[in-house]
Amino acid sequence: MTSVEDQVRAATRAAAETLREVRPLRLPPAPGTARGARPARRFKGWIAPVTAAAAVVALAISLVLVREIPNGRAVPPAPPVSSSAVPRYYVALPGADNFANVPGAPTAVVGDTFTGKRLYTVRPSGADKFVSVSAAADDRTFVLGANPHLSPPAGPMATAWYLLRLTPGSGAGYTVSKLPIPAPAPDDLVDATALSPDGTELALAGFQDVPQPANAPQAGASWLRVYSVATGALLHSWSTHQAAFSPYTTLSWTAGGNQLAIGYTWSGRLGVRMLDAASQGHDLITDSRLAWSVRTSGTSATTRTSPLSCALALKALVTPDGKKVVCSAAGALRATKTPSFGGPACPAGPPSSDAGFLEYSTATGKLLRTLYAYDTNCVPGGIDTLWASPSGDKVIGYIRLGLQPLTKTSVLRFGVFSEHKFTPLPVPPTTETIPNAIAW
Amino acid sequence: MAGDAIGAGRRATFRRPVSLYYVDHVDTEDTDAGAWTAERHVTALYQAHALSLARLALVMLGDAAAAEDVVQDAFFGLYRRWHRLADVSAALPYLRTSVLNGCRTALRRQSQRGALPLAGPALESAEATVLLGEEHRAVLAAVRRLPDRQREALVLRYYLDMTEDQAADAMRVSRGTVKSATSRAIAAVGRMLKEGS
Repeated sequence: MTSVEDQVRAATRAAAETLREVRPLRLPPAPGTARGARPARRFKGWIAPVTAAAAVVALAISLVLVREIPNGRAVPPAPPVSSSAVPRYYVALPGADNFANVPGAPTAVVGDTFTGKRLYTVRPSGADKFVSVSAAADDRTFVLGANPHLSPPAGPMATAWYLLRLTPGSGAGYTVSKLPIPAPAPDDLVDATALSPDGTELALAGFQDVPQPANAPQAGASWLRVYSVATGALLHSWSTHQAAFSPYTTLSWTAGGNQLAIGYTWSGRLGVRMLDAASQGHDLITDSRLAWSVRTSGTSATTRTSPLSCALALKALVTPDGKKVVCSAAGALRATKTPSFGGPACPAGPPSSDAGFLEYSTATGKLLRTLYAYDTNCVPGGIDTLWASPSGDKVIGYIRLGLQPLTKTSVLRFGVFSEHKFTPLPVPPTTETIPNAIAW
Repeated sequence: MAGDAIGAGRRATFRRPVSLYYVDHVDTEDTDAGAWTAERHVTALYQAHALSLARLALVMLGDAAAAEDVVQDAFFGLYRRWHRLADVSAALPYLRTSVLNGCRTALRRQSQRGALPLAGPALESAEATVLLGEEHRAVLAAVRRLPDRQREALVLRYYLDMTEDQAADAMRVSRGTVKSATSRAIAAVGRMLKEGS
């Protein structure tokens, strides 16, 4: 039977969630502010808070809106991103991926997806370095994971989180504040981060090095925790000894905030589990279902399978509608001569290899379609998906040469991939060797 | 697989981050520490915390409009006292205490007028009826019937998950007072739920 304490906890939180937005803050004009252009943008007088009518309670999950003072610096709430519109802003962590030399990024860059222009550079406080970034669905709200004590070869494990809100056209253009989410215990390694679409909850997936139970396939426990962004309170947690998460584990929310999708590898397979975010249990395996998996070969670039398959994929992306998995795919090398490392990345001759993206159903696990296939005489190296539209009709991803860093010259394709169509985008200043290094 | 090569590395003990912390960029445009700075900071604080504080007040009062009034007053009070804040990290605790004080005042006004504890149109609306299950509404009704101090202790301990020490700080009472108020509140809510079932 649920204790009274648990009932109080659940009821008060449910009641709190019925409030989705607050009215603008009204402040009096600052005294003695005659300088410059500032006074022209202020209120003429103080408007006393007026007792409003009952708050509007949205039935659908809606974005949390806090409207700014409408004094000329106001930014209207971000319009809902249309069903397949590519978000305008991204946040990237340049240099975050070099585990051997430079763990963590000293800055985060806010950029314009379509022009490639760097808009803002965000610095963490103190000795923190940014190691992950996750985005809400409003194209304005991001959470940056940070860690001040990484030393190589440490993975990108966050121990603190910052909330970044873009406010284009107002003041500095953004605000940053550290979130009251507690740092994990020393043996708790955070591998993946996902901000809920409405920006109110932060999901973390990780691995804890704990003694191995008798029937567990490996030591350690993988866990998934959901925290309140506003209060830092732990809202729910699940764990299991039946899976081992890693820095390549991926985590995302479905559009309504109802489900969490966790992608990870085990025993020669890459798969995705879907978890009901409102489930009452705490077992990560029994409370979720395996939505898709593929056998991974882990073999070198010279012995790929044919036709296109996701056998070499390290991670998979679940579309926000929760219905599809998009994975990066490679096909057989058709060249008569096997290219070797150190040889030309694009040997002369006809197209000899292919790369692209495949789409699978999370309901059946079966292949739905080839989203994009690219024939090339170059030897594709990394291929990855970085963002998907709600229905998965568009993804942002890349296909790049060999093992080089992601740059304008190393990339074969960076942009929006849709059915048999590619629209290039400027290459952002990011990396591709770790997940969560860029977010839209 | 590549991921297997990424080991844990050396683990260090990290201190808990402070609850409110600004990076330098918030201040770059301010050339004086006057009202403009206060407005910028308070506005940023409002963006970051107003909703969570309003939710706290809503849980205390059961009325969304009253909750928003309390929060507006709290931020206005902070704005007026900004120059007296020793440390910007004290702003959020100040706001929380201010919101709790505001809730106490609102509840006292209600009881002086002889009205029932705030029924909360927002929590009794058709929308809330859909959003809140019957069990939750019964629990909330019981919480709203508690004496102010017991209600406050219960909300801080179980809604905000504060420790007894943290709740004692926020309520400006002793830890023992929080402990006994919480214990009585739980017993009272349990009784009311049993009577109503």
